[in-house]
Amino acid sequence: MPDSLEKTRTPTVFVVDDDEDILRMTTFVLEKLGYAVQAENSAERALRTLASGRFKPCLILLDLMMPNMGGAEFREKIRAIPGAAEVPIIVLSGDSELTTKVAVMNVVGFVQKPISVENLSALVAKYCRAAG
Amino acid sequence: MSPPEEVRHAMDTDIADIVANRAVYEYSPMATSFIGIEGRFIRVNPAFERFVGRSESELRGLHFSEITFPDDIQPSQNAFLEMFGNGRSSLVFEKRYLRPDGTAVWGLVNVAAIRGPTGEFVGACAMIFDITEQRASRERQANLLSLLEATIEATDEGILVIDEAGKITTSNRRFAELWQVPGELIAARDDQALLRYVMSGLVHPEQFMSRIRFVYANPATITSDLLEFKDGRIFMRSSRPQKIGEKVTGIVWSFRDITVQKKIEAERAAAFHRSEILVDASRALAESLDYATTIRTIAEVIVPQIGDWSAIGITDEGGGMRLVSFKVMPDDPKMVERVLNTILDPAAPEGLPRVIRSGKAILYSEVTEKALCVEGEEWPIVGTRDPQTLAGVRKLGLCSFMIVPLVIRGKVIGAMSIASARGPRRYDARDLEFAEELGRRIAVALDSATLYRDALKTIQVREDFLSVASHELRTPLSPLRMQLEMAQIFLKNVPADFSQRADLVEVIGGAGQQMGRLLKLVDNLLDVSRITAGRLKLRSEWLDLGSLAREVVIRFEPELKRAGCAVTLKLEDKVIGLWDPARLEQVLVNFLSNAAKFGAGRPVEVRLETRAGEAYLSVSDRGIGIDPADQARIFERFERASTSGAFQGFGLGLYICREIVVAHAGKIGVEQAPEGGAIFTVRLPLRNRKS
Repeated sequence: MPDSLEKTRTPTVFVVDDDEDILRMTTFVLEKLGYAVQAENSAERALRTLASGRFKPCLILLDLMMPNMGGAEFREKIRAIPGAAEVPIIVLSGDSELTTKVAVMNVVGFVQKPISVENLSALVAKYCRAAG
Repeated sequence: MSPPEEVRHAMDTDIADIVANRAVYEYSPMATSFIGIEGRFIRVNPAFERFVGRSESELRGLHFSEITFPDDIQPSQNAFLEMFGNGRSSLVFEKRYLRPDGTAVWGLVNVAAIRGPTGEFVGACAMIFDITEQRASRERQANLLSLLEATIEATDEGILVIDEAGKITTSNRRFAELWQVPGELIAARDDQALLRYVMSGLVHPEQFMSRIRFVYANPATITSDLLEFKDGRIFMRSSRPQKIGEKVTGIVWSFRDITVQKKIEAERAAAFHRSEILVDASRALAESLDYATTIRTIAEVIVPQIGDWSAIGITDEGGGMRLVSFKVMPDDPKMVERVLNTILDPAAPEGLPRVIRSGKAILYSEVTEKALCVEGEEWPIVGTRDPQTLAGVRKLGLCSFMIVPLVIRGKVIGAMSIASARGPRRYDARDLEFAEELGRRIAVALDSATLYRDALKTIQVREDFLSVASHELRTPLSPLRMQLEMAQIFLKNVPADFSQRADLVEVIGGAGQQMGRLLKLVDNLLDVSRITAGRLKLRSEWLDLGSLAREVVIRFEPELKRAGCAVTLKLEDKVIGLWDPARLEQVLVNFLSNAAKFGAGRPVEVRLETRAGEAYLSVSDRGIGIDPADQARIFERFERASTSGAFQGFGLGLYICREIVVAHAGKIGVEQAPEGGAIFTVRLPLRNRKS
């Protein structure tokens, strides 16, 4: 039963970004900070992963600009996935001017790239409990 | 003793006769002379004396030829001989007498022979009427008549005089010439027959007739108008009454051929019209650099002023040709669409393709039905064999046509056709010349529009590149930043006694600084691309500028300390406005980092006060200062005051600051500090437009 599984595990941060370096480094930092991390390099794959129901993330870190399906479209799509719609989302973007666009996505935060460790850890700590 | 009754009676009668005759002779106003058998004067009366200006005593014994005008001596002598030799009893003739002052007087001489009892000639008696006055007036009249005749013939006007009865009184040769009237028709003197003849050559005979009726009904009026002939000639017609006193006795018609003047006038008007169109066209074409607008403007200049429809074809880079404009009056969107969709065959031997290939204009002054036919190998002059388009052109009409190349810098970039659909306009060489000139101007305008469009495209490409580049640059900076920050975290766990700890601190710290610089450069690039694209948006909020300045300075203090700059704050309280805090922070940070860079080791002062409704923020340093010559330049893109290699950067910082301040409706500036160094200032209206 997924629910029981979820409770037994460390809360997972779900990172979605098409840039492999960012994925790897974000995962590294978050893991060092004591979080479980699940990473996907495309919005489509991330949707499938969420739809599979294998886990329920405590937070989604979402890149806006990705090929094929961007962050905004992904946000719309996950509203249809049971249990995923209410997961808090923090948008990652290089463009500070996109804040108005981000505002209508109904997300809890916005991190401007390049991501600073301090900023990231403070935001993630708000929504997820680190292990140990 | 008195004579018998009958004798006395006879004597009385004689005396009475003699007295009477003598009285008549003496007092008669008629000059009378008696000459003897030799032609010498015997007696003259006082009237004769007065007439010839000589007394009887002077005349007595003179031969009549001695006081006769030389030209008239012979005829006088002939008359004398007639009577002397041929038995003529009397003669009447005119002759001139010479007066002593040399003048001549004319006399009508009535001469009668005096004969003896046997009929022999013994002398002559001449009675002379003084006709000097009559002769003079007759001469004057003849003179006048000949003058009139000569004048009538000499004038360039055709003149015809009709009397009240409708008979031709006078006409000159020019009249017959102008109207090409046969002599016998003039000789017939019948105005109706003449009228019937001349009307056949006129464009508007009824109008002419009604005019003539008007003149006959109102003979005393002066009229004038123009007559158009079928052969293209134009006459100026006028009529005026012939009057004796107040009585109208006839009508004088005059006709002047003004075809040449009219043609010159028309040409002058056409030339003026063409120059006006050129001026209008140049003005209209200069108004826009937009390609589509330029094409539309061209079409509007041509139709309907020059033609009823017009098409423009241009070459494209691949060697193809396409129609970019088709305009027709009145507008017919369906037809326009069909024509614009017609494929231009670059190899077509006629129409736009022919002119584009050859670069030479073509003129079809008079278009025949055949010109639009598709027969065998022949091509219609419009350069397409598309049946639908041809049907459309036939429907529009085509009676005169010209195609001119559009040439710029010696290269044919296209061609333009101009058509007169149903007349009356017919193009000639001058129209073609004009269209070619128009073509040159249009080519310049199209070229400018193309260059401008290309320039815009290039700028857009550059802006896109800047935007993408700065975005792409930011992405790898993310992991780099995290790596460096993680390295700094890990560094804390490195034991203090680790031999290379100091080296690690140095290397990682340096890398962090370089990353910070890189990040700033990327931010600047992104800002510039936003500014040039007009996408710099302010997120304004009510804020206290003093608090903001204090926070920024505190955050920036470590850097100032590293540069050895002591910072002083002189901030007025409660300077509040509707501003974008992040952007103003950016400006202040830029000023402070410049102060730290160029005024290292010397004090820095940050001031804020209100002056005349403006917030006045300044950062002054004691550095090298900015040369007055450079003060305006440094706020431009890619400009730096210092060309020294020690101070690096793109020179974008101050440009971005200026744009931020301008977006706030404020002013940015720099001045030389009295103590040396630079003072950078920002003035912001306290009540921003948004408030």
